[in-house]
Amino acid sequence: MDCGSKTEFLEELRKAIDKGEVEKTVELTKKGLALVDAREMLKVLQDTMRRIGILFEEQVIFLPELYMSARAMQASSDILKPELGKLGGQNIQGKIVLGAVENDIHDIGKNIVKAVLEANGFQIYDIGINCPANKFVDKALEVDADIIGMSSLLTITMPEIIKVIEALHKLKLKKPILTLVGGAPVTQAFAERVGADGFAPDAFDAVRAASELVAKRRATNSGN
Amino acid sequence: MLIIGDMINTTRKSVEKAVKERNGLFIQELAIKQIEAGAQYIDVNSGTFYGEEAESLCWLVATVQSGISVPLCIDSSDPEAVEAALKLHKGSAIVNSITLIERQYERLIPVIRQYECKVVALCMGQLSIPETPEERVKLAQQLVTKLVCDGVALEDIFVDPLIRPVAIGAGNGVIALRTIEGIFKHIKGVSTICGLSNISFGLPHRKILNRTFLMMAMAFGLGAAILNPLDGQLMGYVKAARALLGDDNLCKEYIEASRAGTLDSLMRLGEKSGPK
Repeated sequence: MDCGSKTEFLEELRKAIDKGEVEKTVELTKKGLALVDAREMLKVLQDTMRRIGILFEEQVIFLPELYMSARAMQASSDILKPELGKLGGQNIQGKIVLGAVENDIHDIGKNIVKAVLEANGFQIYDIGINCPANKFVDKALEVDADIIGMSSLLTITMPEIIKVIEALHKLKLKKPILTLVGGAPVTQAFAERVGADGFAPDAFDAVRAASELVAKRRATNSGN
Repeated sequence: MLIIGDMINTTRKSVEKAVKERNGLFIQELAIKQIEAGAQYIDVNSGTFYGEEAESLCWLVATVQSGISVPLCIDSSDPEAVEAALKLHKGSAIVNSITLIERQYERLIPVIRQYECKVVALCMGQLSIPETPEERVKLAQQLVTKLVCDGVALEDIFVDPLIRPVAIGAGNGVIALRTIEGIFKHIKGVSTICGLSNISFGLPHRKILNRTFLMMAMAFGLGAAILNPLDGQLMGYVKAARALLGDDNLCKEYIEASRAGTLDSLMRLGEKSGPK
């Protein structure tokens, strides 16, 4: 594929994600596998979502649009994943167990966070909604996760976050699994108060927070 | 239509600051403004003060009620905070809220009975919020029956159908409306209530959606709303809707509002954009 048409193709992919056209994005991604390096497509996914994140923050675009774009990106990244694995060039940024706490059944925000983290190279183990503390901990131990990411969209379920943190502390792991929290009523002050390792107000900040936590955890490890 | 003013909530930055600094004057003025705008209850919520919620909530109750004599809607998911606030509260409060989640229910019910409160009953089960209006009505029926068995009067129960944003599910508006309708039809004697602004989360020009949704919900039988009474247009439309639904005998309040000039701004808005 020559340079010009490659640029054109990637631009088309970008537009499809921008518009939240899931089917078209899937079609283009599949087609693209034969035309361009999967890593270049991933780069488009990441750049597009970053820009969409800024537009959302500035209220140029709104939640339904953000949601559809995230879905398109998720669908594309699901297709790219095995290819990226074969290429071997992709470093996994870290492993994250992600879920909504017990009695909380909101999954929209969590799914956006998942899509954005995944596109940024994190390996996500999505355990869904309404997850009791032991489900988070068991999964994290099973997959040797770096981070447990929890969302709570209700004030009434926020104390469930504490249960997970306490359950982790009880394990007295030599290399502790770190916790990252978010959700509409969750604040930095709450996160600090309950001893969470990180807090992110939105999906895009979650990338920054998760990267910091993984770096912190790896540094702890080399000290041992 | 019972109006509960929602402005004293610490998720709002200015209120959080006022509570942190214990700025009583700011809180009292905010309460008085809401009452003057037509609110009959004032909602107080300090949910963001994790670990100090009870203390801040008690301060809010005492502060608001020392400035103006008005009943409050005690908005907290922590039963300890609710009980502490009710100890200080003068008059009959609304507790917001109770659910079928057992440990919360069992802890709250004696408190509600002791202080003879009204209560907001959330259509939320032990494990989930049901998807269909029929399931929600069924759940509401279960919760209402339980509350009545435990000594709460029917007329003291406000069922909240739980409104989810239309931004995250196109059907969420209709689900809420059908649930309100179902409760109105099938659970005689209880009222319905909703936190209005939930419907417009994540969308632009939220006030337009809030206003339009409230008109629809009132037509389906909504009995009370937790909303921003300082939105003059919203309150103007509430007056119009009450007249249209026959809740305003001889359109008395509507005419009074018109004479007082409170509806003028709504009219001017229409003229400005209309043809010459």
